Amino acid sequence: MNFALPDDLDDLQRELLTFVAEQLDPLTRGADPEAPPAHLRPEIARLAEQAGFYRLSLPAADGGLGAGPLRITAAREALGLSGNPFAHLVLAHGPGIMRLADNDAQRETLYAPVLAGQRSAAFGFTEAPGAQRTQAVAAALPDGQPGFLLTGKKAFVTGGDRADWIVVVANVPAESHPDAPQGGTALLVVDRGAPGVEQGPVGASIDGATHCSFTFSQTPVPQSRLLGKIGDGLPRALANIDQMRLRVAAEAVGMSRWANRLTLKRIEGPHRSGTPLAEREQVQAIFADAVAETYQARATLYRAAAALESDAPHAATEVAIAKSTATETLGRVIDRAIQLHGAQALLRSHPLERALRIARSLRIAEGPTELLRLTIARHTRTAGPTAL
Amino acid sequence: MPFPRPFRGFPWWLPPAAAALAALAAALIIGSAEPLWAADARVWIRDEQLAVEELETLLSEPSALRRALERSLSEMTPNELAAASNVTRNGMLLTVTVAAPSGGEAQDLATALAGVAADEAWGRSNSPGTPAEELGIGWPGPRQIAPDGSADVSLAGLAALLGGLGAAALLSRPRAAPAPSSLALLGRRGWRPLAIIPERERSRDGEPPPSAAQLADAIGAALERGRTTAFAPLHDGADAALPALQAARALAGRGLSVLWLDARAEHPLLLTLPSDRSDQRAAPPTPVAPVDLNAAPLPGWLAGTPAPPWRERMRQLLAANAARFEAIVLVVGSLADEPRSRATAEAADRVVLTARDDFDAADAPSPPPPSPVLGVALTHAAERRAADFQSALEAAREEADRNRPGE
Repeated sequence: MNFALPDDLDDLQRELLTFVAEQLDPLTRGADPEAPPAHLRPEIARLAEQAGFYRLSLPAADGGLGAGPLRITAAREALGLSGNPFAHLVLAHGPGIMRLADNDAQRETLYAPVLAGQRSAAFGFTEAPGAQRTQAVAAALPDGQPGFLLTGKKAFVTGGDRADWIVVVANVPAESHPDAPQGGTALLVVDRGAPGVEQGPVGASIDGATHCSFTFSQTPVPQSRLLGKIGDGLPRALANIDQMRLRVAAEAVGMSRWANRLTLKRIEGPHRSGTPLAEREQVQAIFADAVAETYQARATLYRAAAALESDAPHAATEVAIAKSTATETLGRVIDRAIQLHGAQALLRSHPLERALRIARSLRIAEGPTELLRLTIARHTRTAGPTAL
Repeated sequence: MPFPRPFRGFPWWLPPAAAALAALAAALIIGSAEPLWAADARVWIRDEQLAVEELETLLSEPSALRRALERSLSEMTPNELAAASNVTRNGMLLTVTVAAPSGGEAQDLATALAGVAADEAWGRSNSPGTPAEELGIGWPGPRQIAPDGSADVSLAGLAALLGGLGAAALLSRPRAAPAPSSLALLGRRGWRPLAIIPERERSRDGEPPPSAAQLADAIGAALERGRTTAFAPLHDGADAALPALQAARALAGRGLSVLWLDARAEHPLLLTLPSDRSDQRAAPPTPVAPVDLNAAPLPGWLAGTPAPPWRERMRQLLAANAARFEAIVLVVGSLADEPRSRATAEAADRVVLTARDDFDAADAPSPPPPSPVLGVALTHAAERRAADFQSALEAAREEADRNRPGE
């Protein structure tokens, strides 16, 4: 049984790390990751395209390279390992929720612009506290076309302040639409500038992401902006969750390895005591824990990626294990790294300070650890202790 | 800046005061009300072979409710949880909403119930994969649904504001003038109270009662302008005779020679009152003689000729006695409907009207007395009111004065 990474993935990682070191690092030196210059994203995309990486994760049908979970995981781990805060831009963002576009018109007007990076969409899922549930009622719009009138309020729309479209999860009441007499959930693509759309104040979370609320007051949404069918849109949107969790796990493992490399450099370097910190057993023990846990998380990551690649029956549970393990490990690894770096790592400008904030958010994103544990426990209780 | 005329008199303070009071009351009620929170949990059924509607139905069954209660360690009963929970289905997504007295309990129960659905899905599924998963995204979190403090207080305040506006409009609307009080009526006619006579007035040691002294003061001051004072009832039920007699006695007690004449009878009774102060206690009024005004002798009336009119005869009688007495006190009947009484009063120099202190202003006669009115003696006053004659009199005068025309 060979647990080493296949040569092609090993090569991919090496090439990516070289690309970042030679082209990305000089380009992004001094740029603020929280407020990157506008030219940076397209320039990185151009360089990544030239190097043959940009369309790695895009479906082959859309002109992408159609890489599978294993290859994408290797790429994301390498980008995390690079330590460059802009490295994630090397891979195209993908269509995101717009992959649900299922007719030619939607693919042309919604899917393609997002895929090309020309337009962006944010997901309006969370209902605002105290507000009525967001509803979409079928109606003839002012231009005579069939559509919906959207009313409600969505909170915590990540990236909503910069997005061109908000994909709103709305309830369609029973008997209000001829296509769905029983009602259900609809995913509606709403223009940010549509009538009746009001954006709330923008807030930032510790990982640098921005969030805002949106209020919809009788906002007209054409029928052509309905993603999927009423009732099946949300489950379809959630169907990609395993890939998203694997992505988070890969980034977390990459960041853990980067933090360990950074820490190794620190403890092997000169110290004011005259002896490198690495000479001290307590430091060695702390560092060894970080390396060992990262090793465990990485092994788990690739096993889950392989399971997803082969469409194994347990893949979802294995991905849940990988995600929870990788992100919890990242939290501990960054914490140890900061402890071994000392107070300098607490400065705003220090990369570990930002890594700590990102590590904390990744434990919640795409499924909190606690809910993933429920899935893992259920799987084991159902399938037996030898299942995994 | 004064309000425009249509709004003058509008009690603007009332609506905001009512709103503030109502909002305060609502806040107190809300503060004492039992809070109710709601929380959601979601289960995503990933195994498409599973019948989601069966899982939805399952969550209302006692066994599932009991399992949720055991998980959450709640003290609710299955029936209570069934009433407090609601499950909605959107495609493969189940959303469980539970209401409870606290946000934490509501969230625990919703999560537990969703967990039961997920467990059941895992148990029923034949898929080796992940048949169900609880979702942590998109929850609005526990939210208080009752009492909705801000909304309730706002609604209460708004309702009270509207109520206050209505009450203010009612209070400020033009209304029919209220029936005037007796004193207000006297004031409007320019009549001042002269005395207040209690229902049961007592004299001390034969001295004139305080009300008689008040009347004597008023009459005595007016004697320079004529000697004859007529007492007339202002309305039915008012007694003029006793006040007149008391006044006459008081005047006599002050050393005046007084003729008292009850002119209500066909043959009026003339009494002279002793003017000696020392005799006041013992000496009763002395009848002069019954006077037959229909017979001679009267000055200027020739026997055998037709009797002159009553007014003329009375005038002659009074003229005949004017030289003999310093003060003449007459008692006449109602001035409203008795021509003879009006004629007698017309012959007097002034009129003192008597009225019950509690008389209904609606009963007051409309025609004005034929002679100048000196004032009004209020009889049958309540004991409390009459306890301090002077202050009661001054208060009555002030009230009457306030209602005088032009003041």
